[in-house]
Parts: sequence; structure tokens; C-alpha cells
Amino acid sequence: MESKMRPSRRVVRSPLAALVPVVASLLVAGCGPAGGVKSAAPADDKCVAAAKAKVDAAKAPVTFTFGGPSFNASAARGKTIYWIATTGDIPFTKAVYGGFEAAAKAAGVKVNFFDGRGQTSEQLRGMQQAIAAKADLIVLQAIPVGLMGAAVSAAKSAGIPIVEAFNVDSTAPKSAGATASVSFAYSQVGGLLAANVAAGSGCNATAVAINSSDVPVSVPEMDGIKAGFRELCPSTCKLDVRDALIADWSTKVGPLTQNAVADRKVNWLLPVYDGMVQFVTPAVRQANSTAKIASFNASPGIVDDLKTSGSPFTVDIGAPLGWAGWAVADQSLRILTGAAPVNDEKIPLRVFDKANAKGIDFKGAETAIYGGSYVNEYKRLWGLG
Amino acid sequence: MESRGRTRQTFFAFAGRYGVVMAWALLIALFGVLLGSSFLAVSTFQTIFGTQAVLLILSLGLLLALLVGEFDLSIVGAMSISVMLVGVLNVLHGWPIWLAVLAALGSGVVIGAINALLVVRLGIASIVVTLGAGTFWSGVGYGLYATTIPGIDPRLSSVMNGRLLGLPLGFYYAAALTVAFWYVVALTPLGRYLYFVGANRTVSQLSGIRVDLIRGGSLVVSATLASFAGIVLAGMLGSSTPSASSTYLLPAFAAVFLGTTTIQVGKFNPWGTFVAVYFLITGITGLQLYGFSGWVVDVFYGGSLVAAVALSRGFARKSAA
Repeated sequence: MESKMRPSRRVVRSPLAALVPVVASLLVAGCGPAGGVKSAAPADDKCVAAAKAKVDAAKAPVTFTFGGPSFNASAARGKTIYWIATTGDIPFTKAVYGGFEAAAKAAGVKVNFFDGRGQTSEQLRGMQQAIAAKADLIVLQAIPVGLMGAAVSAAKSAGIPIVEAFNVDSTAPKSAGATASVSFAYSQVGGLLAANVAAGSGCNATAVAINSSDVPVSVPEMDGIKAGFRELCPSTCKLDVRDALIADWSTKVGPLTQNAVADRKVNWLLPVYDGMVQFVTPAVRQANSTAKIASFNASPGIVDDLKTSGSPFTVDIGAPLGWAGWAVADQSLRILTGAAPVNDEKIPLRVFDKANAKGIDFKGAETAIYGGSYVNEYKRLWGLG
Repeated sequence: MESRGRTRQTFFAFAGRYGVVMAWALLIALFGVLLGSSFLAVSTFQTIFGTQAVLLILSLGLLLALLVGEFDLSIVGAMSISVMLVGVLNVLHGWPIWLAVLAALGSGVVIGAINALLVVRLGIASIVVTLGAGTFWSGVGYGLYATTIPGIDPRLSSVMNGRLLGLPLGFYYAAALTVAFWYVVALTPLGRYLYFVGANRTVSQLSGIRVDLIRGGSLVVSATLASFAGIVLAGMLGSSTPSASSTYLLPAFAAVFLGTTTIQVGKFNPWGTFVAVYFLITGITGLQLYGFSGWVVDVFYGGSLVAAVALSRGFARKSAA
């Protein structure tokens, strides 16, 4: 992760140079979408078969593949964990923390939730509160460890381990300063988005990804999308990338989409998080575009739109969030009991599309949506089952 | 009969002046009863007093602009530039930390001077100028570097987070600024000029006060203090990020306006702002320890402001009656 946080070559060499993008953006604004769209090519059967195989495998209900090793979680009984969330008022946080809280209760561990309210100042206050309260462990949920550098050092000096949750790709090294990491395979999400586009377009896609570059995990997801296209259809699929910062989604994603689909060859749109879809869909409809939308998160309330007839929203990739909460608890308990943390909790992903969504009640229990059973599996690993 | 009326007036005047302070004490007592030792622990008060230095410094700068009748909505833009300059210059360009800090502070002077030029010389309303400037400089902050820059020289963190009597040094800088502001505003001729200019610009001009200099100077100080707040934030975080500043604007305004309801009722005053900042964070901390989060905090924040201003106005009327 250290390398992820290391400044890239996009560095502005002098403060004055910061004005360059402003001027450049004004010049580019009148130029319409990026040109150079590839002409239609015949479907590549081999590519389609490979893409479809990937998609079909990921559409199936998930299974518990995390193998441990097992340890005795009862040694953590009575200890206190502070969970500092980037913001508490989103369904993602509520669902993940719900799973974590249930797991902690099963292990007899006390938990304190601190709502960072999307504000760096509040998140820092949460860290300071946890350190002052002599927490036994701190979970930083979707808050870059590097951002809290000074507080993380203070926690380290106080002997408080840090578990970072959903900050980096699950296959990447943990961030500097973190004791352990728990996350999704964001690069795999990107690969699955590319596979869906390839399979759905006959490997003849003109896709536009709508990135949110201020969210650190967008980097591995975008890398996964690009790698997926390179692997499956390097010469017949074209990908353009646009960007909207998270604070600008409501005002910029719609116009960005309209601008993208003004090119009638654009047949797939890939907003990197499905929270953007509510702004993408109306823009697609207003432009009378036939472009389809694929995204990630399978957020409650949003994923339901897959069932809406005529909706351009076609694919949503999700991970079981309650399960993810138990995975964070697993990693935390390992550290609290002196066991070695694991590299990857192997939180599964599932692809939902218009076909398999028909048979799923997205308002139902998580196990009914994703399949698989994890509570008893974790308890068994912890010596509590 | 007359003495009873005078007692009544005195009571309402006292309640108006120290209402927020009493409400603060009541709040501590209430959460002390509800939460017991988890709220009354020393660590809780260390958190309460140790985490608001940035907001207090920013609010004091804003207070100065409001004191002379000007709005400064550019403070978070100036703060954003400052936070980013520290990270960009120190981490990415290898400047010594003291030079990066100096450059960040200088950026505040420049931003404030541009604001002053547009407001005082060209006569554009400060709310318009600073609204645009705030957005502009926040955008430039993202242009400098769009995401987090970790690894700022730890000496800056030591200067901000080092402990004295259990509290971080940042708290003492903010408290010292409060004392300095109180001295200037309450005990010097300049302080009286500031109030005069804020109350009536034309009469001040006719009285020989250099109104333009005071208005422009206030905007420069306001932006410079915003830059200082950015430096303190960068030190407390140990990193730079352009999104860190954007959420400070409304809390700063809330603190300054809530501050007008106490100590010197009806006036922007430094001790009132100090009390307001810590009153609000005490309530929020208590609510969070009680298990509330999200919307409840916003309701408390906004509700406290409106209730305090309304009660203060009510007490003022009663005491004058």
C-alpha cells in the first residue's frame, strides 16, 4: 500500500502549474467527447466464450472458501474495539458494521462506533478519542491510513493496532502503519466488469468508465477494468475514462454521461460505484441512447433496478456486506488474541444481471441474495462453534 | 417594587450574557449523569479540548472579517491551499518544512490581499468575491494534488500534537490567539475602530478612521489565519488532502454567530466564539458517547445555534424592559 500512497508522476511541479488544468479544461470543454472511436468489428467467438465463462462463474451463489487458520477467540473476551467509519449514514457502513457488531458480540468483545461524517476533522477526532480511551484495537473503515498519519503513529506508540477496512485491494500489501487489512478484490471487480461488457457486446465494445479518482480503491478497480479489456479484447474493445469526484456526483455524473453517449457508438457505461447509477440512468434515457450500464456495490435499493423492464442498468457486482463485517472481526480477533493476521479474508463477489436478478429478493436476507453460509464457519475457526 | 424590577433586569442580563456558559455546564452535568465515568473521564475532556484548534483558529479569523461587516467565504479555500502547499512542497518537492509552512502562510496573505483589492478597491460585495474565491482556491487545491499526500515532516506533527498538561500544543496556539484577539478587540483603539467600522462605515469615515485599510486588513488577516489553520490541520493529520478543509465553513460561521449570544451579547467577540466552539463539541461528544450519530449531531448543531440566538434575544429584551 505504501506504493499506492506514494505520489505519482501526476505531481504539479510548481503552484502556478496548478492553473494549467483549469485553462486546459476550459479549452477542452468545447471539443466534445474524446475522438478515435474504433469501427465495429465482427464478434470474436473465442473472446466471447472466455468472457461468458468468467461471468457465468461469478453469477453463481458464493461459497465460503476462507481457510483460516483457526485460533482461540475467547482470549479476546472483554477487550474494546473502536470502529471509525468514514461516514455512518450510508447503507454500506450500516450493513458492514452490523455484521461486525454481531461477530464481536459472539466473541464477547466490546465495540464503539464513531461516525466520521465524511469529514477528515471528525475522523481525526475519532482516532484521538479512541487513543484517549485506550482502545485495544482501532478499525479504520474506508479512511486512508496515510491521511491519519500522525494519529496512526500516536496509536502505534500507545500499542494500539490498526485494522484498515476497504482501503486497498485485497491482493495488495496493507498500508504503511496498518497492522492488517481487510478488503474486497477491487481488481477482480474491474475484471468482472470488463468481462460482462465483453460478453454483452460480442467483444465489440465502445465503453466509457466513469471513475471517482478521489476514492483510493477506484485505482485497483480501474486497473482491473483496463486489464480485463487488454486480456479479452485488446483490439476490438475501446475504453474511455471520465472522472467525477465523489462530492460532484450529483452535479457532474449526469452531464458527463450525456457527453459520453452523444457518441452513438458508446454501448456500455461503467460508473465505478452504483451510487452513480441514479445520475447515469436519466442521462442515458434523455439522450435516447441504447448504452447499457454495469457497476459495482449491489447497494440495497439500487441493485433492485436491475429488475426494472427497459432500464439500461444491466449488471451490478456485489459482495455480502454482513459477511465482510465478520471478516473484519476475524482479522481483529486474530490480532487481539496474538494470532498472526491473514493476508486475504477472501470475501466473495457475485455478479447480478437482469437474468439472475429475477429470482432474487434483494430486500431479503443476505444469505438468500448471495448464497453461502459464513457465521458458523467463522465461529468454528474461532473455536466458538 | 422598583428594586424587584431591577433584580429581574439584572437576572435577565446575566442569563443573556452567560446563558451559553451555563448551558455548557448543564450539558456536562447532564451527560455526566447519563454516561457516568465514560463521559467524565479525563480522556473525554482531552478529546473535547484537544481536537478543535483548527476550527477555533479559523473562526477567529472569520470573526475579524464579520466584525468589520464583511463576509469571508474564502476561508476554506485559503485553508485548502495551505494544507496542500505544505504537503506538495514538503513531501513532493522536498522543501524544508519551515519553508513549506512559510509558503503556506504566505498564500493566505496573497489570497486575503486579492480579496481586499476586489472588495475595497473595486467595491464588489465581499460575499460575492469571497464566494467565488473560496470555490476557485478549493479547485486549485485539488489541482495541486487530487488525493492524500502522506508523510509530511514529523516535526510539524510534533509542534502541533506534542502534549502539555495532557492537551496537544495546537489547543494552546488557538487559546493564545483567543487571548490576543480579546486584547486587541477589547482593550485597544484598533478594537474600537473595528467595531465602529462594522457598525457604521460612513460615520467611521467621517470620524477619520481609515475604513478601507481596516476592511482590507481584516480580510487579509482572515485569510492568513485560515492558512494557519490549514498548517495546524496538516500537522495534526501528518498528511495533506484537498478534501479536508471543505467541511469547516459552516461550523466556523456557527461558532462565530453562536459566540454573539454570550460574554458580549450581540457582538462578535473572541471569548464568545471560544465558548461556542467547545459548547458545541461537548454536546456532540456526549451524544456520540451516548450512541447517537449522523443526523442527531446535525440537529444538535443547528438547533443549538437557533435556540441560543433566540434565547439570547429574548433575555436581552427582558433585561431592557
